Amino acid sequence: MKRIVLLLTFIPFISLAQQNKFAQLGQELPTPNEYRNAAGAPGHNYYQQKADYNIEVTLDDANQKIVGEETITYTNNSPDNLDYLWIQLDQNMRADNSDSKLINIEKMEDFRSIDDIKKKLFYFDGGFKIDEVTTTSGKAMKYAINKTMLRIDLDKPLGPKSSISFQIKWWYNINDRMKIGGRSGYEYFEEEDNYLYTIAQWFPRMCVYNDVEGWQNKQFLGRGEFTLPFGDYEVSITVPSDHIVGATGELQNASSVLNSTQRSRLKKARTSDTPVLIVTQEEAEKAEKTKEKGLKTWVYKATNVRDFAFASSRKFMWDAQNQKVGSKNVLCMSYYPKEGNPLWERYSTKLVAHTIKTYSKYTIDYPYPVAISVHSKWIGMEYPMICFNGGRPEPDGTYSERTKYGMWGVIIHEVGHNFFPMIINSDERQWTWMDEGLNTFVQYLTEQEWERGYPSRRGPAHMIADYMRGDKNYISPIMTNSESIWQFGNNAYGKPATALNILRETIMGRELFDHAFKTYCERWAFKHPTPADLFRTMEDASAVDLDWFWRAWFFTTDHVDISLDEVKWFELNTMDPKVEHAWNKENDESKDEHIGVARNKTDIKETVNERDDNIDDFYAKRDIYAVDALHRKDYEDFKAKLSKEDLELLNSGKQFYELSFSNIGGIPMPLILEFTFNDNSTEVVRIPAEIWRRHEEQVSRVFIFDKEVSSIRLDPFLETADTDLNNNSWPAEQVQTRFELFKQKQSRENPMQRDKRLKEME
Amino acid sequence: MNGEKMGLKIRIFAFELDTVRGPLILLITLFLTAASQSYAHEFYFCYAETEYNELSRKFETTIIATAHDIEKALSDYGSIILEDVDESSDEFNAIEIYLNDHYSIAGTTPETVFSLLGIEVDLNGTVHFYLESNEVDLQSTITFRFDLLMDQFSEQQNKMTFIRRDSSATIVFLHNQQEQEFDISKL
Repeated sequence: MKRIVLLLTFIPFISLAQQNKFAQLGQELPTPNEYRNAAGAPGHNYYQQKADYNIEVTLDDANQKIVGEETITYTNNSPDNLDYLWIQLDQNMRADNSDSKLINIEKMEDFRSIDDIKKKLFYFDGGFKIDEVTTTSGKAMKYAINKTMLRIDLDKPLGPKSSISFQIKWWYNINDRMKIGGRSGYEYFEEEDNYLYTIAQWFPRMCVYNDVEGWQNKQFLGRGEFTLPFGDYEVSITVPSDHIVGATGELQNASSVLNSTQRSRLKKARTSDTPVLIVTQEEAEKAEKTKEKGLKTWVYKATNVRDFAFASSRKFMWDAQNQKVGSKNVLCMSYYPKEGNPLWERYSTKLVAHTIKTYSKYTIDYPYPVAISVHSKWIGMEYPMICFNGGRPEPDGTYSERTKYGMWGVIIHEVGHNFFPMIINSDERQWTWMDEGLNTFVQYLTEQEWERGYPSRRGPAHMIADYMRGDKNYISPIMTNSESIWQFGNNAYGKPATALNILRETIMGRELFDHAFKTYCERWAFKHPTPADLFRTMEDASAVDLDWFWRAWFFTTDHVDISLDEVKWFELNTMDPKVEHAWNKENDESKDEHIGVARNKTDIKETVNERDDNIDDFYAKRDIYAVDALHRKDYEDFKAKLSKEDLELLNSGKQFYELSFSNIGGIPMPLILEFTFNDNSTEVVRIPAEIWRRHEEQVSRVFIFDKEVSSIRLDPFLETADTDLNNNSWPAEQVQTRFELFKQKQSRENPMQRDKRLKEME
Repeated sequence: MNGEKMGLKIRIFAFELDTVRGPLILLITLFLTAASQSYAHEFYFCYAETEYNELSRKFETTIIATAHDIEKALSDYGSIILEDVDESSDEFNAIEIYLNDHYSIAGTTPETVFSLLGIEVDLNGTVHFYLESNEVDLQSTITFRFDLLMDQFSEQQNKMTFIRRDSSATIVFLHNQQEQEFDISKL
């Protein structure tokens, strides 16, 4: 309903209640110090440890076993004396006494069948078997094993800027991933009796020691992943002589393990911008059948990496191409069995190249010499320079469109992990989101550059709304340790990725965000960042105060639900009696009328005053809407007091709209409003989130236009993850449920039936 | 399964489908894979949107899940590719039974039974199941059960938004909280 504004007097409304949502994050974040400064950059005394490995490993294909021995050289760059060293034994999560087996919730109804019981009782002799831990001269070292962690007690403390070398010999049984799962293991092809090995977490690895945690020696329970120091690796991998190996790092002895044809193809691939087959399908199929005896040793070197993984199989096809990044050439490669075709030969290496190139644009130039994608079934896991990915066509070589996008998505995601956490090396054991969330965000950007309208599952704000609404008892803040998270995927992957996308598209804008994000990546490449380092850097590099955003999105379980409660419509009173009296008349005549009045018009043929002239007096006869000389004089006197600009403003016909909003969900967000006018034109107005600064629950705002508004929509471009769109419109609009939308478009035939009809017609 | 004080009796199950759709005996012989650790699998989340339509007196439900997970869960029934399921096929019937087993509403008169109206598979890997119930009247308290995929993944958590008379409430379902009572006077 329109009202007339007589005066434009502004009365400010300021709440005196304490405001918390926009408070700075000082108490929540660690105090800046010499190791990590207030700008979010490494401090002047930042340090990190180094762990170099020299490993010899044999893959026992006959018994599916790994046998290895390593020399670790550990350098203590901290200012502390270390009395002991901690080493990770991640395979021990499959050992008999593993806590991982004990902590899953179970009910009897989970055991509905014989197979469920067999799965429960299935015995696998997993875990590292440590044969010895010695000095490099062979003297036994004192050590203790606590499940997935091994502690070496040093005879004398390792002082600052000192190094120590020691040796470990071990072996373990490789798990069948198809039977008992796992991030690594083997896939067995029963029909041909062949194995495809994807080997990771395969050697005892140093834990991180740093200024934040001391030793990061939290047990590996299966969910929170790995935290590892950087170092240099030299690894000799002995496998059956007809196996093809892909690994972290660069192959050092190609002439010993590759034939001349393969070396020639590999050389060609190094300068090709399309994939070149190094091992063809025909050659791989031949190797599958012949199963040569004998062994070969593949030697790899990798510099400044945090881990080492490899894949090995006689089933592998292998292709490669070059991708230039800055001034550097990166060899992008794929290894896959024939069962991966036609998808893998067509797409995998191109996806690797695209991912490396695109991630480099948004973060840092990819620094390593190679990037590899290996195909095995039902897997998606990442290591420096190599990752293992699923996505397999049907046995007849056909595949659904969904399978294709799934394969694309997993390759982009896992190759993307080269950046987070392999290079920007956050603590996965503590904060899953720091690599998964950031990686999922850049994955989304990369997918959109691969194909327009790519059906990304995460990224756009509205896709997280279902997760964020509802009972907060079973939602965790993003800032929760990896093992304690409710709804892991949404919490650690989806929500942080969405939050970053909202920062990029809505809060900061692309230019400011991209610069700040790149600054973070450059600052923390080859280092160990913490959440505070990210939060501080993003502000430091952009001059955008984001503490309210980090607080709301990362530290709470609030959600976004901002409602447009009320719209009040005003026009200026021109004070011109000609205009205002006419408006009053129109307004009075359009008011609702009592039923009695309407009926009386016809039922009462003539009233007394209509019949007798003497009844109507001055008041009855006067026209209250008429404009007389006095009205005109008053108006002229009024106009005389106004400046020319004031008069123009008064006569401008401006329309005023007072909108009232409530923050129901808790997260303060910008108000993005689309106004549609009577002439069908539109205008978008963006009010920053700071409008909630002084009053967290309700605000109002006046908007002034030259035209009349016919409708208003809050968050028209689905930018804020608003969980209830039913309170976002004026006039009010009920959003259809998914079911209602389905019913509307339901046809009587499914797509296959329609296609059948089309073929019959043709 | 029956449990007794002295130990458990174990029976091998044979599944019989509703005789209205024709008998179909299934024996579980496949070894179910431990999908929870075979992958960097991170979804473990299904969502349902359910509205009680006062006019038709029916529940209208959309269930959203990861298509790959559902196909694995349905592997007892054979190799099912959701995009290829024809509405007149045995697979479609099997999916309907499976969904009714894992999404139900008690506390109505008569008992609520869902019919599967359609399946849509998105390219991003999600599947939408559209279900409609028989005509039912609500009692003061109804009980939702939504344990879809909880027998596959110990980490599975589901969520449902119930809509009635233009108001809504969202309910969480966990492994040890697969049923939730709801007082309909709240909406």
